[in-house]
Amino acid sequence: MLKGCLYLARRWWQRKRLLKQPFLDLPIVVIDLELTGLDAKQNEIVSAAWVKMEAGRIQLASSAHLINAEVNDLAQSPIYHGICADDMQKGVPTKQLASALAEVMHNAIVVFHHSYLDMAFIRVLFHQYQYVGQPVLILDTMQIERKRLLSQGFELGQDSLTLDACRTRYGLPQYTGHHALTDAVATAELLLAQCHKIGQLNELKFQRLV
Amino acid sequence: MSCEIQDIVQFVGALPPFNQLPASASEYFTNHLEIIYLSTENQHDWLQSNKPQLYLVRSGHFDLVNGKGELITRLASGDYFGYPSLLTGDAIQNRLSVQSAGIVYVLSQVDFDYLRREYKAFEQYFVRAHANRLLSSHYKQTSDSWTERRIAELMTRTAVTLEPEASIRDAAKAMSEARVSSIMITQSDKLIGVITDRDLRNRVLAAEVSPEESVLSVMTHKPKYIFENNRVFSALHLMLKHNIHHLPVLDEDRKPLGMITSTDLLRQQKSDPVQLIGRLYKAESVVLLKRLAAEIPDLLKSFSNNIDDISLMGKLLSGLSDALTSRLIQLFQEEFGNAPCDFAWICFGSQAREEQTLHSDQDNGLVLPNTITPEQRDYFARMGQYVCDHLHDCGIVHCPGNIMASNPECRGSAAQWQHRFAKWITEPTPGAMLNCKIYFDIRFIDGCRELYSEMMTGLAKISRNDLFYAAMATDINANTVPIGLFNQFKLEKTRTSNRYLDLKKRGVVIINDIARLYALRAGIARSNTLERLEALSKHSLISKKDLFDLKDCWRFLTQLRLRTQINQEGLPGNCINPEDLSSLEKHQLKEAFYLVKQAQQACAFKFARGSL
Amino acid sequence: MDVQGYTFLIVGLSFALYIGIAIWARAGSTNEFYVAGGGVPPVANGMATAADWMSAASFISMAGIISFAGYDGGVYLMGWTGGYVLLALCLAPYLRKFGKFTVPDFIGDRYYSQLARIVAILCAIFICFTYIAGQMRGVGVVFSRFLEVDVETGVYIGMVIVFFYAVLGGMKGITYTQVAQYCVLVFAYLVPAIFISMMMTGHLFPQTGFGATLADGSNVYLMDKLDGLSTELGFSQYTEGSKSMIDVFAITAALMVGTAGLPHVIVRFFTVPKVKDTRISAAWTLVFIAIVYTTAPAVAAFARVNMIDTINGKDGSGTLYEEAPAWVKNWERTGLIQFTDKNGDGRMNYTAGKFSDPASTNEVEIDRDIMVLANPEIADLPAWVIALVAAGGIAAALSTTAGLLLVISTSVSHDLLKRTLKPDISDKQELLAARLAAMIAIAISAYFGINPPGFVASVVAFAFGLAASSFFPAIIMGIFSKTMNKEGAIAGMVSGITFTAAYIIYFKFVSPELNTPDNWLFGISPEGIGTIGMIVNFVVAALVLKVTKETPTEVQEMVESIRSPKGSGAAHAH
Repeated sequence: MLKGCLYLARRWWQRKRLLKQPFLDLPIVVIDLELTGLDAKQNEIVSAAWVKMEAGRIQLASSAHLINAEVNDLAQSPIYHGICADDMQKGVPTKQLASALAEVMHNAIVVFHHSYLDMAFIRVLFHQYQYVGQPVLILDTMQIERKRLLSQGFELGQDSLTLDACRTRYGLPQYTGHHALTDAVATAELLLAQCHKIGQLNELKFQRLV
Repeated sequence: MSCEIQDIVQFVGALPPFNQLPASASEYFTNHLEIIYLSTENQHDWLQSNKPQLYLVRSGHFDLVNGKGELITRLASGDYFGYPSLLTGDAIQNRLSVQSAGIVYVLSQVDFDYLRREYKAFEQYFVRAHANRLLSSHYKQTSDSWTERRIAELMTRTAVTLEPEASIRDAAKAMSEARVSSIMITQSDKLIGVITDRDLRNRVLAAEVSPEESVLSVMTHKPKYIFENNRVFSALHLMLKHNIHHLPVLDEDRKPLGMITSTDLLRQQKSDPVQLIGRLYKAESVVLLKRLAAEIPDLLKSFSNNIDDISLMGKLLSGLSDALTSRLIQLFQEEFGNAPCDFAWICFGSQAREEQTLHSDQDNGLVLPNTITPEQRDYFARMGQYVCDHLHDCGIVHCPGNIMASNPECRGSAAQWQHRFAKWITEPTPGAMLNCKIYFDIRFIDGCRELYSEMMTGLAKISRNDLFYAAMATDINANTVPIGLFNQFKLEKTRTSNRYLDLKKRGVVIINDIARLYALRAGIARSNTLERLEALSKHSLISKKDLFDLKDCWRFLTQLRLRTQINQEGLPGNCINPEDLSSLEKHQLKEAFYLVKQAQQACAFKFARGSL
Repeated sequence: MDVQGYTFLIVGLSFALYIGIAIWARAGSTNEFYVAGGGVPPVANGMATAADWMSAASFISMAGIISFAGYDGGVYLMGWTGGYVLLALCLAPYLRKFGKFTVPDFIGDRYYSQLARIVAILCAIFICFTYIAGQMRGVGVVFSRFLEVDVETGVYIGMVIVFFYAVLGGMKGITYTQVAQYCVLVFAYLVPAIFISMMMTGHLFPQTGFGATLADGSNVYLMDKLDGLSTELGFSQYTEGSKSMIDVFAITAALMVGTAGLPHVIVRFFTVPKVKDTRISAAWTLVFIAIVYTTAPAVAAFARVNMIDTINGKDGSGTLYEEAPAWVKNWERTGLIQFTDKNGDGRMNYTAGKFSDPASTNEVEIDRDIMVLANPEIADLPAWVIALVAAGGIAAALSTTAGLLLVISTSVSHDLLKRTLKPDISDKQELLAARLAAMIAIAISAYFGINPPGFVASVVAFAFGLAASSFFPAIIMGIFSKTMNKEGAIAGMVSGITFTAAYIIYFKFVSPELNTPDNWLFGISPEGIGTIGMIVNFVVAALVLKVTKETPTEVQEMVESIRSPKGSGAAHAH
């Protein structure tokens, strides 16, 4: 009990300190998952991809893309992510995917577009295999965008916060298809564009992004 | 652990040199990229000498500027930069100026060198690109467009003037004392003539006129002039068009303020669309003219980024069209002999309003003397055909409504034109009103100005008809502003695209129409909407506040129209999706539409006794 | 469904129709088909003009007047029809060529005088007022009957509806709405007339039924029966006028001239783009007006016979009040029929004589404005016919009122305020002033609609007299005499007005007891004196012209050019 409290207090302290750090100073991992559906309890992760970013540079050399070879039911999802049963043969076991994710996420600053959905799946996954992959900070480009739009007095329409819609707003190129890695890169680019729009990039602190 | 990203591989693979290289080259390139977002915030962090890298633009627009601040090239999607120092190892001279922020791919020296070694074609490509850049005449352009500035800002000298009673000797003395090359002759503060160095040389010394004679005998009567608030661009245009070097500058009350000379302007000038106008006026053949005309779109695009007053774009394009037309008329006369009688070449519609865009078609006509013979008409038929066809080839396309000098209907004598106008005025059918909207915006382009003035005087007389104004006002009200009963936007929709607002048809056009109606009623012989509204402030037809509001709305809507050029949703031209606006802009837009609606209603009320 | 239910339904439907057409027309006026077709066809424009022309006064009151006054009532019929012809032939084509949108603008420019223009504007406003007052009463009568309230409340309701329709709705100027209004109006007028004509004379057309024998087997001509009834009850003979020939002539002329200057109708001649179409549509308008106007005398006669028959009974002994038909009770509630049992026999007795005079044998007072509306009820026609008449009356009132209100509001806010008093007001203020002016105009006319109708009649006479003696001669001389100058025109107008006004004020307000044919000048009543005023005007103008300086040559040239026979533009003329 006491240990739990201490853990939480330490985490809170860590986070508080972290938020004061400049954005360009710390490495960031941008993650994207492809899923068979939207329900973390029933649906599964099809693939996961991530790319690292340092000092505002997205390093494609550090990118990774793992396909889950053990998906039970792809259902209708291939029309979105384009991964079919054949591709799954090139994949890795779920356990390996979970361990790789845990490794890259643990004590890292991670970024998603719509973190609630992706994190829900990841928590289920980690719980299943008892891995620990606790990020120090989770950023969400969708939330950043929502905050920005609302503060400028825009009314949010349906679909105005999808990854494509957000990128269009910043004049970023359109990427085709929903490949996990493409989306991870796309999210990273979006994050950079957002940071530039928020301003004072060289002094920008993490606290402006949450 | 790395893995290529299909989108980037495809993008890179389609570009030279990778489109000539095996797929593995673009995959290697992609896998070793870093992606950055280049904006005004961090433009100085890149292109550093201590760490040369290859850059590839994925999105956004960037200007590459040399040490002197001159533009070397404009970079857009697919363009590389940073390679010279990678190749040569020299320090980097150039810097970046971000026009619109975007994604840039960065490749380190190590990886660049690897690709150089592995693929010969890769190395060749960049070596050649480097050489080309060195060789190409540098596209220099100052970023602040000086032609946009007002005459008053360039003109420093005080007016050197003389009374008309003065002798030529007095004039020469005054000029040498003030160390100027020209002098204005004024009578009770009104400009009546100009004498220049050249006049003293050509009209006095060479003609052996006595220096005791009055200046009246040698001065240029009714000289061209310009107002202090006009743009430098207009001054240049006038000078180039009439081949004059001195232009008196007057204030709004036509009181002389000073002189602006071609040297003053050339001192400012480096390279500009204005130079193109000059070259157009001097082009020696149709082929050359067409080659020059082909430069217009690119030139304008580069120019448009540096302009803050949008109304200038239309003026500039109209100026270019005027120059093309004038030159073509001259070339025709050189080829087929001089015109057998006076004529006036006029233009209508957007060119006359100086609101032309790159997509505008030609609307023009010829005014001929009333005494014209059938043989003479044949000559002008050929001229009309010649000029219109060549204008078409120069990028100003034929008018789908056939409002062109190649059409016999648009090639009438002053009396015939008047008759045409009279028919529309006395029988204002909806079709006639459509014509009036184009034909009542008239501007003289070339030929005999008296002929044009004669037609305009006649036109002013017959258009003084309340019933005609009423029909115009009713017609204006047939076009509704896209605001609903409860102050919400009324969006239009096509089969293929999203819901949108047509800013031109439902905003700018209505203001143009309103300005035209008031100008006709007040007898203002101008065609530009803002100038018409400006001139209306001297009449009591419409209050100053309303005029101010209308001008404001016009500017706001036109400014917003510019945005539509970068819209990515595939809407029709000049249209905007209001969801893309901030709530402040939405509010302003509604306010603007509301004001337009009110002006529309007031028109119906004042001129047509229309509905409340 | 009862009458009230039908009324709500039909009036509601007609409003839905107008609004629907307005929306459709707004959307349609910009499309290519409309542009290519050259706008509204002349027939439609003719109908719209007819709707503008035929007011609630034409629809409701005219047959009523004829019904009660017999032959004398015919002057209105002739005067109003003549007024239209005068307007269509003598005024509109020339004003159109002159390029002026309103009569005051024409006068102001023709006589190169701001003062003349302002006087003309004030005249126009005044004439419009008197007209609207008549309309308000008409609407009030309709609403009071069908909502079963008194006339006063009816006028208030009408006021609100007219305000929303004309001022806030922006319906005016949409030709097709007026076409629909004409259709409703003419249908509503003809259906009951045809029904009754069939019932009483067996003739399909009321116009022929009017001169036919009755179908009740007695083989008596309708007119003879009416003459008989009238004399029997102490009225003068229906087909004999009580007015002298010269008086009838003068009143007709004054009415003609007065109505010819009606501003809202003139505008209709200008909104048709082609001159040829204007002529065709003017002819159509005359046809459409004639359809209603020729029916009016028949409706009047039928209604009168039926009314006397039902009130006094077939045998003339009077109907028992308890057994009186429903329409008597219904109209009694509105206060437009009153009954006092003076001799206590429980029977109604309708004769000549004043109702208010206790010595008179007349026990029933019937407001003549109810004749057209009550007609179908008296003849026991189905409920929907009665409702239709209500919709027709409202259509007639709305179409005319909207136009007149517009004239008043533009005159006040644009001609007077913007162009004369305060040139620097903004568009917003101008539009606001216009709406206020319209609102005030409605309120004032509603007041006149509620208060003494006798007074309104005098005012109408006054207005016509004024217009006839001032306005009209100035226009005619402006068009047909190129030498007439400012001084002549103003002197003529002033003397014409003074003469007419003095005559009317003397007989109507100062000493009304002397208002009998014996005391009148040349035997002309105050209603008709405008004609003499007009002659005075012409004479004085001609005299003053002789002694003052000439009209500027450019004005003379202008007049010359508008009277040139061919073409309407300058280009042909030279």
